[in-house]
Amino acid sequence: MPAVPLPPDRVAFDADLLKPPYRAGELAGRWRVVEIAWPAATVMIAAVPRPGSPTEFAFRFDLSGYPAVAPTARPWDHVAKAPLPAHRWPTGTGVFASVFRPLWCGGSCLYLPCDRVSANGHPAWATQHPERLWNPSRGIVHYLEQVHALLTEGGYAGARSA
Amino acid sequence: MSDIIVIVHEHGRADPRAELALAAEFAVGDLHDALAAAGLSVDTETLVFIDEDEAPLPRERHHRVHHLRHGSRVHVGRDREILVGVNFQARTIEKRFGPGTRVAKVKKWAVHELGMTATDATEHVLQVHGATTKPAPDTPIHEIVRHHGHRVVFDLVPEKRVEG
Repeated sequence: MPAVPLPPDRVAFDADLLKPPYRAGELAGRWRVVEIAWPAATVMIAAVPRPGSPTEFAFRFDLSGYPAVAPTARPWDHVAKAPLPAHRWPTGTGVFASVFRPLWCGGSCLYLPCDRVSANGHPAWATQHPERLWNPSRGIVHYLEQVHALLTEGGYAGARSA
Repeated sequence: MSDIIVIVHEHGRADPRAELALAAEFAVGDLHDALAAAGLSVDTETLVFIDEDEAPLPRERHHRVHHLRHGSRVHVGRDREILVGVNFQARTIEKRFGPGTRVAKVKKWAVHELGMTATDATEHVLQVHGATTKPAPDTPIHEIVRHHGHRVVFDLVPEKRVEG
């Protein structure tokens, strides 16, 4: 049976996983891809230790059209293979709370300028948060870096249920 | 002994340059040869730093390297140190760091030096002076100096909530 060629967005994503920017974070324990079911991929992103909270959170990405099209991602229960219930979301203050909003779009995405669902309808973010916008030339690490920074530096307090 | 994988950064270049597999025990000469094979020129002026070390590796090829671990970063360039300035309100503080020092370590030093509370620290971020760039915490500072010579100046600014 002839092999079915992979779609170009999958090929581009696979290639980025082999490049040094992604590999640097993977080797340092900041993130790791644990499942690909294209166009979906699950990525574990490390968090600083907080009482009663996991040391990493799973995020389910939709990478359709990667890298030209921004991805969208939501907190995920990798064991149950389902969206992470709101009471188990990570929580925090300041910028963290502004990004992790379980009530925004039913919890289906993060409130980040690099998220294609959230970015839709927020043209002002181009001038308000230029450094957070999706950057196709940097690819998936541009999204992962922001989430990792929030879980390790930006007011993260632990899981809501902790 | 199994190989270790290290990530190579070249001074002044955004994002890591290459990934190398090295024997768990090796000498400086082995590292220089591996860097050259990866396309990085290593000459008598080249300095190689491991992770956030303040001092470069010795140049002697026979010198054994013991503290490189799986996932370490190898920084290749010509700057021995980078002068970092941080502006906050009416104050400017300065310190010299090794080129591989990450932005997170610079911020940790700055908030301590400025006497910030832990809460205030989480609500502030380093932004390159004169720009909107807010480098990720794991960014080595030599990646930022490519347009600024041997120094980099940050402003410590409130991190903006995402609203709208």
